[in-house]
Amino acid sequence: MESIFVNSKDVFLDVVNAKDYIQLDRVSTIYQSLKDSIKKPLKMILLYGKPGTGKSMFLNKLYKDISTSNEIFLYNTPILDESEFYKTLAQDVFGTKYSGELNFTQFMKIVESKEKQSVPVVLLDEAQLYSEALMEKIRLLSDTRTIKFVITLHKTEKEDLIAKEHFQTRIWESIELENASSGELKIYIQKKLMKANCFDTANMFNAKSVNLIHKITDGNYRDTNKLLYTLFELYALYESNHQLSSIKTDQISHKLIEMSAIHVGLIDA
Amino acid sequence: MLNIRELEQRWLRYKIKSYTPYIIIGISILVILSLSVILLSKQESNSSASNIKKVPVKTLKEQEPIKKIKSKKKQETSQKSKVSQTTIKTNQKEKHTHTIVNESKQQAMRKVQLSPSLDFMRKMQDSVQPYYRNDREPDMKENQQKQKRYPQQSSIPTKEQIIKPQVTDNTAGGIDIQRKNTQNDIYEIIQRFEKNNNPVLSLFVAKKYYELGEYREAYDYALKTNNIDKNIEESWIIFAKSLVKLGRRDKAISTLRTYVNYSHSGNARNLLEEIKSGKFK
Ligand SMILES: Nc1ncnc2c1ncn2[C@@H]1O[C@H](COP(=O)(O)OP(=O)(O)OP(=O)(O)O)[C@@H](O)[C@H]1O
Ligand SMILES: [Mg+2]
Repeated sequence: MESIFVNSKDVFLDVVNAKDYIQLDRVSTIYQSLKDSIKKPLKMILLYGKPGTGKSMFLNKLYKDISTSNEIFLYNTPILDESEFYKTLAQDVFGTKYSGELNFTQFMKIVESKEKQSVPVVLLDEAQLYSEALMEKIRLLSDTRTIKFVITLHKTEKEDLIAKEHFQTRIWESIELENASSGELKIYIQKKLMKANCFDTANMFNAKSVNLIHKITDGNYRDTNKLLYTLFELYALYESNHQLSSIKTDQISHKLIEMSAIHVGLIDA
Repeated sequence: MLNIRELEQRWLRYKIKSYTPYIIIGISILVILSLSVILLSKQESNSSASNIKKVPVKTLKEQEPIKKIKSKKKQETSQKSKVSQTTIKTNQKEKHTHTIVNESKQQAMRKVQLSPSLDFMRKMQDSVQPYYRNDREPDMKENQQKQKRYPQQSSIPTKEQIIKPQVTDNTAGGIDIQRKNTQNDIYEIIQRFEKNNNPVLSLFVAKKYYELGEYREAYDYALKTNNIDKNIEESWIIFAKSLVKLGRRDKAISTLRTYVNYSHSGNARNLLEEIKSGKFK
């Protein structure tokens, strides 16, 4: 039989996959308002937050949900070359293959020549990587209301951008994703485990242990994933060494939480 | 690759490091305590034997043993003063200190002075983990069962009902889990079960309902589980227990008997005995 700890460990691999999305109260409110704003004729939606707060996850989920009803395109990794960026959009969104260089003016011509029933939505993850010049073109593009952009940014970059006043006025809506509260973190952990049918390990988390985890990770999803991955790796190791009797298994051992935190560098020791 | 040994050592060092301030505080309190004991005994030896009760030790819990020791100290100090009667009063301070130190080395420390320090250690742990106090009250209705439910903790600010930690007394075999869950979670699991008919899910639901005292639902889902897979021991046990709870003891016994006959399950047999003897009701 496969060890439950090994299964539980794999639950916390740091991968972004919309099918693993966990509905959390706060996030789902944001999610609903975002889905609503996509239908409204707005220009640009900015999703920002610290690393590991679930922006990519959110974007992927949005893509998955909306792709059945809307025309929507997701770019997980930024296309940094300007010409390449236009060419990709021209092909994906407007069905126009273009060989050779494509500049902004030429691209705008393509955009204007195509009559669209509804406004296509383009999701750009990691937009902090785009050059300022390209960002400005993206802004101009969304001003024409021919494409709706939803972009994600690391928090600090957003602050930088906001400082530039042209962005301040153009960005119609900005949404911040934050770290989880302790209660949310508990739901996150348990739902994630239950989704993989790891009920027994899900039940090992009580308010106490989640509080300790929250103290260590500050509710950051990525850090929590890292911590719990190591935690279950440790459990699996103790199990295969037949040392499980020396640690707590009726609830998550605080010692093992701290050992994991030391291992992944969340605690200095 | 993880190296458990090394990690455990690093953890130990971390723990020691994080407790160091408290240990220092502990030691200084100990020092203060023993200093005050010294002072007290000095006062005593200066006053007459009948004054013992006036000594201000109200703050200490262990008044009795301390008194005993005080009288011991008294004896010893008086012995000493007999030996060195010639000493002048100005030297007395030193001498008493000396006396007490010897004395504590011998016995007093071991006997009494350690107990306040243990108290202190406990406090220290409390203060290290301020979140961890939760007020649990056992649910008396279910004290027959191995698993006990506890009322909700209200400290967590989420919409969803959160989740009652439960304590399992059963330490036999495998993992013992603190059970807790919410109606919402159950509904979610039910929806998933309806999609894929996975007996793991229905068993989970049955167990949860049983823990919540909703025996009709527990019965239903255990039955569903058994229909999908008739070899899940836990499900038969929940099924039989729910039957008993629903007042169908006879049916529970006959069902379990059938199951035991073909599965030879020890747990089911134990439960059968408990139901028959009326231990489980
Ligand atoms: N709602 C959620 N449901 C399930 N998993 C989530 C959720 N939110 C975050 N996660 C998990 O947290 C991890 C980090 O999230 P994500 O990669 O989306 O963060 P990010 O905000 O995009 O970070 P960065 O700024 O570094 O790109 C993901 O691997 C994912 O497993
Ligand atoms: Mg990301």
